[in-house]
Amino acid sequence: MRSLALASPLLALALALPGCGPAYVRGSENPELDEYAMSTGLDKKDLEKLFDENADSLMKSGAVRRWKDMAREGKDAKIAIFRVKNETSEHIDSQLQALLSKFETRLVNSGDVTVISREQQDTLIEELRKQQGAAFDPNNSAQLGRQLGAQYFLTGKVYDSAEKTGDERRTQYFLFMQVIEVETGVVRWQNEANLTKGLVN
Amino acid sequence: MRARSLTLLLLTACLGLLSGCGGYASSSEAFRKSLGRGAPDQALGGVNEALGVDRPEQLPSEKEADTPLLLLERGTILQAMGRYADSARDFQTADGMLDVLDLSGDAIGSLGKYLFSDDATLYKAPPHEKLLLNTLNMINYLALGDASGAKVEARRLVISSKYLADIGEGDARRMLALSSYLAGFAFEAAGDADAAMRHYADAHAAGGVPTLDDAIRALNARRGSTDPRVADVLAAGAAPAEAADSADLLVVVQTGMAPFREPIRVPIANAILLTHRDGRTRLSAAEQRRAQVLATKGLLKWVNYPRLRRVAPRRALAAVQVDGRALPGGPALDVESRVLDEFERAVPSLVAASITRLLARAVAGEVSQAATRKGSGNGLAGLLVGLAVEGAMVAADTPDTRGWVTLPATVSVARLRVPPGAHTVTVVLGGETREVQVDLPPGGWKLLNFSAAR
Repeated sequence: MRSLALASPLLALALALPGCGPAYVRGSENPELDEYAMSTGLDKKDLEKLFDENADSLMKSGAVRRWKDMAREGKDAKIAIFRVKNETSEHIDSQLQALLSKFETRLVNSGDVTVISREQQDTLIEELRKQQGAAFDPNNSAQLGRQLGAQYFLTGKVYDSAEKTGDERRTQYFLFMQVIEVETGVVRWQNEANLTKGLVN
Repeated sequence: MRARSLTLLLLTACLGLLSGCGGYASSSEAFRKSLGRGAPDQALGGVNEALGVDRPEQLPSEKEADTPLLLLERGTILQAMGRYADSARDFQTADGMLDVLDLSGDAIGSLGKYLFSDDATLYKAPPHEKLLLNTLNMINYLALGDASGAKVEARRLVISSKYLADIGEGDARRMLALSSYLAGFAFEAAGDADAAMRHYADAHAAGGVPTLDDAIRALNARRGSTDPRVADVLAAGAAPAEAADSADLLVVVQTGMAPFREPIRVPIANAILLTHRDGRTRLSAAEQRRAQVLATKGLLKWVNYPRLRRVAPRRALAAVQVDGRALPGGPALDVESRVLDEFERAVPSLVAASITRLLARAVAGEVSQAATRKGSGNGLAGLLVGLAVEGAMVAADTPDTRGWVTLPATVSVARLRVPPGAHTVTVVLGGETREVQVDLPPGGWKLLNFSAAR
């Protein structure tokens, strides 16, 4: 009987060690795949939350009402979309690019404003970098906006507060987005969205 | 009787599952030696084989216990080959895995550690490896010209160092001078002067590195940034003269190989002394008595545990030049000393764990012997079974020789503001000369890494 008692945990150990092999699956076949978090970075669900909160706020803002008014008067409001600066402890630049692409899509399809192609912006920025050398400041968005012929630019920053303890790692994200009028520097819209990711025992 | 047979069968099965062939010292030997003799391409083949992949772009589909460690090794080798994006991906993946392992319970590993070997546990990186992971990855992003990515690594480094301080490993901060200096360089490159100065002040507080004082004075003169912790540096000298359009050139040279762990056997009596050489008692009085009784009977004679082996340096950094002119600089991080210090502190615990395992094995042998004698009525059979179980467990006892073996022994830096345009950077290592052409834009910056020739 004592031997059996010794054997039981060892049997459990032997069975536990060889794991099942991984298999590729589709999100459409396994809807839960998009539900659980796999890291403290940003995933599809996080991006949708951040986008929905910001896009809803923007679409209800005075900035969009102003663009609609301009459109009724036959004037064309032009907006440039600049990158969201990653000031976090996670490598999320590609996810932030995806977030901006979602904004671009929403603004283009709204028909309220003319969106300047982001590829064209990259070319211009590179050209300015070559022309101005040491004087070029990629953080001077107003200067870039003027060069692009934009009246507004959409930009943002994401910060985090990240901590690690003996049994938990937590990252709190704070995304700030703004629409700024190029000529005056006035902030026409601003919103903050936040979310928290963690690794807990 | 059937239950006893099952017990023996399972013990043997567990041994097969938990024991490695010769431990990490043996499985890493080929790629460690290849990198040490300046053949990173061969080292890459070896580490890919250990990871079970064909190409360096691949990540293993199944995570084994050593996967994060092997990714650290591959990241270091890829960095030496100048494949910075691939290296960054490996370091980033390993970083995520080590984060998870830090918070993971390891019941199976703990059982294995108790019965068989430290090698059976999940790999948890020691403090110096955690900090060097982010430091070396900062070098990757800076070498790629990606200051934003380097800033992310700098922030991760700060989180890790705070975590280490919280868990009583604050001593690791002593190695942060180079890391903070690189973080300062990254923030300065990104145009964030105040954050850059904070990191430079951290580097100064951690003991400083060559060229740090000039970097602090130059940043203060250019952007007006300051920090109370660098007041002494600013008061001690003037900023070096520099043209407004000058570019910042930083050269990082990684030389030598950090010490690695290898198994060693010591007599039990010496081992017991080692367990309390720092004044702390790790074995109970009962455990010590039992070990001594078994030693007297001749049943316990040797204890296996890992020791550190230093690697004789093959090349010394002689000079870093730009267009034939020597760059100011020198050694910024003595990795070898950090590894030795950390290991020396761990030795008493490692030896105590080995002795505990020996006692567990002796008990398992005695239990098997008694059970077989009782079941069969045959004393000789009982003795043989007992010896077989104990012998198999001794054979499976592989000391934990895991550790990041491809780390350099020393990291040196050289830095100078140079006129914009084309320049030739030369690094003289032992009898070998490496030359790189760079073209710096006005007000630009560049980090060059040399880690292939060790």
